[in-house]
Amino acid sequence: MKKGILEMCILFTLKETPLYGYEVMKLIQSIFSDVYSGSIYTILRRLNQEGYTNIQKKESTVGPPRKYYEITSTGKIYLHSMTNEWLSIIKSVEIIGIKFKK
Amino acid sequence: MSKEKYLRELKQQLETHVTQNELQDILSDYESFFITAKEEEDSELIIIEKLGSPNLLVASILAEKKIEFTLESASPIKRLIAFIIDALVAIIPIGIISIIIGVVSFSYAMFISYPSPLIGVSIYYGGAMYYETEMSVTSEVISIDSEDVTTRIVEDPKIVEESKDESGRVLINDDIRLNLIIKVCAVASIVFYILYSFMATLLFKNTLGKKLMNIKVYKTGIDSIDIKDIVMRECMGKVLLNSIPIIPLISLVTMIFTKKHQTIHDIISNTMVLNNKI
Repeated sequence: MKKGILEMCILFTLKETPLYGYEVMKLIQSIFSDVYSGSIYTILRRLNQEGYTNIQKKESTVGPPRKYYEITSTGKIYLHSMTNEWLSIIKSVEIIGIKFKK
Repeated sequence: MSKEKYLRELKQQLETHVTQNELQDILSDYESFFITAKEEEDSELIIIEKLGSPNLLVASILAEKKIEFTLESASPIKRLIAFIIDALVAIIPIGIISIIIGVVSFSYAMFISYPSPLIGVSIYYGGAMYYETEMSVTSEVISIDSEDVTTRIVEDPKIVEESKDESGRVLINDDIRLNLIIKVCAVASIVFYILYSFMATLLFKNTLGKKLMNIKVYKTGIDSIDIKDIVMRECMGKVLLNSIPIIPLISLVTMIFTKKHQTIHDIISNTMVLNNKI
């Protein structure tokens, strides 16, 4: 379950602006502190291979061009279906009685 | 480990599992990862620490591709040395107390029974009961000299009653307070003895012995262990199960002779001890 959640979070952060690998890793790690960083990066690469993200090479002022990951339309559809699934999970859990404080 | 060495190790371990094209792709990806990371952080060491050992990274990369890969577990020798170090750490408080009250040999018994902590506890308890009996008939003979009457405040009137027939055997207030302090410290040190491994793994993810030998506990699926696993491994496995006489011996055998080098407490919690050398 956790892997799916990570995928969803990674795609969501890319929805706003394209980010490069290390940025994504730091962002996710700041929230999910006990996740192995190596796996964040491998998930990112896999999402790219499956076509949910695109790589854009942008020139950088310091050093070689950076790979920026941006979400594709397929990626957006995938993200949408995952957030729906996540919301329905939350709803089911709330029905059982566990409430989430807003 | 330097970045070059890290990438070399990565290449070495990956190349037998993926195609040349894939390999180049992966390596260039991690190379640029290092470069961009270096621009943010100032230390290569921190970056490598975040990625974990090359072995671990390879395992996670291949796990993504659903390729089978067995991690290199730490050698039994390293584990045994780490174990001895941890046993020594665990008996430090007990050792201090036993030096104070004069029964140093106890620490050795506790050290030897560290694989089965509850056995150690029962030895300790037996000794404590003996000490308790000794203390309650403590003797500081109060000498009552006709010219030099030393009066002391006596805590327990019952003992005074009992000792009225005997010649001046009474418990002195200072001794009682000291006795209580010793008791509290003794209880604290036995709690430390039992819970050291559990608390260290819970709070720091590692015990001192393992840290010095550069090995660490992981779940068999390269994730780091969570509280559930720690409780299972340490409390259920090490403290409870290991107190059944033959179990530590079986653990030793399974640890040395299985491929994954797992002990019984590893098996029941689905964990492995891996090299953490970075």
